[in-house]
Amino acid sequence: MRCEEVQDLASAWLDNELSEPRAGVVAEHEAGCDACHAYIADLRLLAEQMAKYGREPAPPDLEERVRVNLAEEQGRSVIPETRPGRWLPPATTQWLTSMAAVCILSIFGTWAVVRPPGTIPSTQHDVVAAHVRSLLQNSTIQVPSSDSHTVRPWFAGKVEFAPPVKDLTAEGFPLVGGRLDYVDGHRVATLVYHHGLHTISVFVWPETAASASAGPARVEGLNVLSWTKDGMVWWAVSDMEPGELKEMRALL
Amino acid sequence: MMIRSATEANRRAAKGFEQQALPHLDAAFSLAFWLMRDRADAEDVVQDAYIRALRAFGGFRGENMRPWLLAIVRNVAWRALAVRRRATNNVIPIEAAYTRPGDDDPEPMTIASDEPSAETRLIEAGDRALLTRALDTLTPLFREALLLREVEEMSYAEIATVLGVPQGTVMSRLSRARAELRLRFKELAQEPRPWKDDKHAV
Repeated sequence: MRCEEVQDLASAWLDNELSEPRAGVVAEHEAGCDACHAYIADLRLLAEQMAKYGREPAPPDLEERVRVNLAEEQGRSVIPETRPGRWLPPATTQWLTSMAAVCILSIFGTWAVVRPPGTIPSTQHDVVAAHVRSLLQNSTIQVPSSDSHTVRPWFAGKVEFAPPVKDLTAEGFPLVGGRLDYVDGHRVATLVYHHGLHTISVFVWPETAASASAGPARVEGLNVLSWTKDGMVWWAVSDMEPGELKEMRALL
Repeated sequence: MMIRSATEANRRAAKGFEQQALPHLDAAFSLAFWLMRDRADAEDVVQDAYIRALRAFGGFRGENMRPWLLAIVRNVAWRALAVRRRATNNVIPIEAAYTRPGDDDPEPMTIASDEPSAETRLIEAGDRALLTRALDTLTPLFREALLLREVEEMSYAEIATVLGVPQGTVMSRLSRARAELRLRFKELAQEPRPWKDDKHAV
């Protein structure tokens, strides 16, 4: 074995980590080679020096401080839920929170725009718009008649259902006539009643799975009331009092 | 009730961790110091490492505690070294390393006036300060391997665990580290330059 190789292996040989037969070869070579003997003596000396001076003493209070730290860490980790934001700086947590809020608002905003038809706000909007539009035009009705037997056949062929038409003149709500409106993407039958100086639009269409009714509401100065009865969805819009609307609902 | 028993288990685990890990605090500090070459930084590393070790203690399966713990210390120290390297581009002037601050007239090191053999000089010059300076010139990779072997007297298998390398790598790294240390030691021993050791607590 060459001196170079011996000196490469000398370190492991000194550490008793060199297996046979190489350990024996190194020992034999060292005994007969001055250069390698001197090299290995140097390594022994350095090892002694390292063992003697290498240990850097820890500060006397380090153990106590580590104990305190560990106790704190343990106390905090007992209930992990009590350390929010532990892994994130507060600024990041705040930022994430506000971003989450923006996301949620955005989701609801999008839902409000693209939500399926038949839900209350869009229906309510449609019936109120239809009622107001009818008041803006020359006539609120397309078929003028106080006779339910005239109004009812008029709807035939114009809508796919037969709307229940009642004349409530005796009860103080004279039937004025009927018209067609467009609510929630469908043609619906609209009955127009009067009550004193008030005009009432009563929208009616067959109930579907998507149909929904809501409690009384006040939209743009108008009272809105909706209900379902006999498989039909009813919406009444008028500027008359909510109590009178309910009274009328009971009659229809 | 669940929380209380969890707390109890937690406390027991923490107690067990302290009993097993705290006896190695000196070894941990020494390793951290030889990597960081700064006592305050070494303390920070040890504190951080013990917290991390406690958190990881659940995954400790009763193997040898010292290599497991020192591996964590070592990783924390190397991360801190990387941060320090990024943070500071300034180099300590070599004169500052040789003298204490405010030490205007450092005493020259006394060296033998006659010309002894290299081996004799190596032995005569052998003292703590010279060793420290020689170690300082080595790469931290060599320093940590030497420390774990010579000071902590770990087996190659244990050192391999700490360093996260195969045993064969430990063997060759130690061989190269010793050869390098020997050369630096000789160079410094021949150097007529005045120097002081100001990094160590006595």
